Amino acid sequence: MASSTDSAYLADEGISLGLSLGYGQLDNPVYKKDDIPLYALPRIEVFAGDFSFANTQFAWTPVWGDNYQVSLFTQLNEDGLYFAKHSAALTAIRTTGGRPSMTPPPPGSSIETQAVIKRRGDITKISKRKLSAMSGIEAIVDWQSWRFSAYWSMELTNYHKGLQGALSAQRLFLFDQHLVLLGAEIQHLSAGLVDYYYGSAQQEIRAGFSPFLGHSSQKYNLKASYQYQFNQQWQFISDIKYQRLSSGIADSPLIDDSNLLSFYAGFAWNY
Amino acid sequence: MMLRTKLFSLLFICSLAFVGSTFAQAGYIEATPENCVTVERDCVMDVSINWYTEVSETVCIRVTDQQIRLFCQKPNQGQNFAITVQNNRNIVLELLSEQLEPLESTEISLFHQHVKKRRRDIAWSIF
Repeated sequence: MASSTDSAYLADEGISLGLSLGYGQLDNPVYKKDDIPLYALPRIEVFAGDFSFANTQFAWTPVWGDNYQVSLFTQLNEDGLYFAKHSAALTAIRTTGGRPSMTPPPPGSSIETQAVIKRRGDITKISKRKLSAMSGIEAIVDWQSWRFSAYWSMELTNYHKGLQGALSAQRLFLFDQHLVLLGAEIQHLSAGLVDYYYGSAQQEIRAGFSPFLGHSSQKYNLKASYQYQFNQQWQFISDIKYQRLSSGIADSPLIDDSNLLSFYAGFAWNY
Repeated sequence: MMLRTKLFSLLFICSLAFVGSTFAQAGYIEATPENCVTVERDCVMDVSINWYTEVSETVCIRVTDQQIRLFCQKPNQGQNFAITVQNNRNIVLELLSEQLEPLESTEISLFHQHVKKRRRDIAWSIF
């Protein structure tokens, strides 16, 4: 049985590179926007002292113990990827360094189940949404095979001045060369962040969309990972994530699908 | 009986050869500590050297780390000769005669310890 100090949660000091080839996609919930294909994923990691860089994530972990760690981090915001010009490349770079996004099933409510009439327009004429960077603090506690984490982050790039937080739990199973990770996460997005990406104001209304004011919302994620280690260099990797958007996002006329399924499977080479 | 005598003679000759070789190697050089474990690129540490030889009245000690250093005019027996060494691979210490002929040598083995850092997530976590 795995423990929190198992090799899966440890990395060698120094630079670690990798490349994975496979097939997958990040489900894009935005109206008339294609799902983001994933064919090749790079892995660029640097661990130096209390600092680490993993693809686009930078972290400083000044506080740590046998079964806990507290980090300050910066990372790209996921919602910006849905609108980005080079979303496939950005997603590929961002993902392999991404935090585990797992989530419990969403609570149903009568308000959420009400039919929302959305008027669609020309998605190419909406105002530009920029990819934002978030910075915040994260606390992780390991207990036996479980890992619990919480983070809170604010925007660095000053596009929407939004906040984002999350609570997550994951469990790691290790059997010989097999690794299985199951997790759940609930994310909270502030009104500013939701309105910037999913709100519909003057330009969107002119483009034909119904008006919509974004307010604080949640994303509920469930995730499963499976990896098989052939040897030190080669492994099979796979990830699947189900995500449900709460009504605060799902009711936006820019959103086409509130239940998202993203996946990837491929072979990875590590140097 | 003849066979037994031949066997005894063979053993006797072998014993003489062994004893002879042992006396021929009467000398040593040793360093303490014998190993260096480091998380850095280079090992930097203080070393104490002991040596002895019957071959020469005075000897030289050659230390090969990042550079080659020669310490001469040393007596044929010495203890706790302290130096600081630095290198990114094994460090060689040699006992030389005054004519700089190698007599004995030893190595300080260097081991790089890979420090494990805590991850915020497993490697290849895609989403």
